[in-house]
Amino acid sequence: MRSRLLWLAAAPVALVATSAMAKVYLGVEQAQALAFPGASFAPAFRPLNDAQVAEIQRLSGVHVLSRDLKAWRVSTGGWFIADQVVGKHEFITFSVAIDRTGAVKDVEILEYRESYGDQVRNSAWRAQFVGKRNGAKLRLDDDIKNISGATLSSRHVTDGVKRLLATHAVVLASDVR
Amino acid sequence: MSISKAALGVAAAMTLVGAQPAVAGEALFGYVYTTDVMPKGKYEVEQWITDREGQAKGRFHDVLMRSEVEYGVTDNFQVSGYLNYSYLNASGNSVAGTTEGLDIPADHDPAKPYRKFRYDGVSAEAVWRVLSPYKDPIGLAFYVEPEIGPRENAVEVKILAQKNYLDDRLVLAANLWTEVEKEKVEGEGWEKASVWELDLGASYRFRPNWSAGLEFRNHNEYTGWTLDHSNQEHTAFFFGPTLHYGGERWFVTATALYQLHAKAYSDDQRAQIAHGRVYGDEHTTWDGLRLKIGRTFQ
Repeated sequence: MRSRLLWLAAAPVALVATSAMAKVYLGVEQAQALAFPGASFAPAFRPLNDAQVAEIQRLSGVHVLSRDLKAWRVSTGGWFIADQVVGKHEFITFSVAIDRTGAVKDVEILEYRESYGDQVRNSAWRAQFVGKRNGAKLRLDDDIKNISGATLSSRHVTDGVKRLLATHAVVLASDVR
Repeated sequence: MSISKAALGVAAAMTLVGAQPAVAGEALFGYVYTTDVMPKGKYEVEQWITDREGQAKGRFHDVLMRSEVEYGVTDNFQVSGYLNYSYLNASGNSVAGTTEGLDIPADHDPAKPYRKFRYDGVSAEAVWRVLSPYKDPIGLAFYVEPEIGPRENAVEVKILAQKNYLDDRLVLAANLWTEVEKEKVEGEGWEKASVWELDLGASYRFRPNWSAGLEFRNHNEYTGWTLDHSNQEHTAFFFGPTLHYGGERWFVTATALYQLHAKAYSDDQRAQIAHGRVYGDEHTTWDGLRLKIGRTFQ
């Protein structure tokens, strides 16, 4: 009997082999073309050092999830950054396009794999970020409307945009060619 | 229904899970509730299997099954309905080595083994969340669960609290609850009893989809409907690990709680103590081994 019970308890392990298939809504190139039509994009990937991470966290108040910054320099000016935030069960992959003045030009949800909360893909909700700069409040129920029933995703995407604006200010804004 | 058939049923369910293109869900803990509720208009089906395993001696397997449907009335108010049924297989389980005690009818011959599949009743549940852990300092919700059955009628009320850390990957949860019940005692009519319990849980999402944690329960049983210490029968402590997989449509949670220690406050209850744990009509050594499988629907 006990061995059968142990088998029951171990059953979730069988699910390892059934990892969720990603719902990819947009590829990076598609998101780039939407944000900066006709522009070309030069990868400018780089690792964040300790001082940069500390400064980003100080400015944004948001924990830096990954030290690998995936940023592209835009031929017409500005930056395109792809990143991830924590979702309910998996990571949410998103992108932020920042214009040459440091303001958000576009936010896109690239991959979303949760059962609920994909209202963060709604264009009207994402449009709230357009024009936001480093230092903006970017707080739910304040300058960003919460999506009831999708609060975790709303907050994490909002925090993610805030963190990438700080990342731009700390790492990319001074990288002018 | 034999245990092996139940295990085969679970195996079949797991095979179906594996056939899905993606998996999802909730119920981070086996026993402790978080303040998460279903979004408005969404529903979820859950199957619970709980084995209350081992008493003082002999053999004791009390396998409780619960089939549940949860529905989000609003984004902060959820209702559920349960169907409860169980399979009990016991022999010489009591402190005295006889077949009697927890869920075994009083009119059963204690010299003989007991084995039965039975219907336990239906229950409903409502959860009202007043604070969300994702935008308020803590999550806070209130829970009520009435249950009606042939052997027990009860009402359970809980306060659920939740605090998240580390981008919501670390979840701390606490439940304080009380229950008043009327339990049918063969030949003696209906007996009043009440309970209060504190449940604590901590779970960390250590990789996408997977969380592992610990759960603790302190269960306090009373005769009558007042939580006065003079009426207290016992206090018992349970502790153990929990593992959760949540994907897009399915979730699975497995929890194993072990009775660490108990203290009896009446002669009747002291007679049910063995190895520092209380058995009798109330508890088991593993109390319990719980598996929850859930599927969410749009």
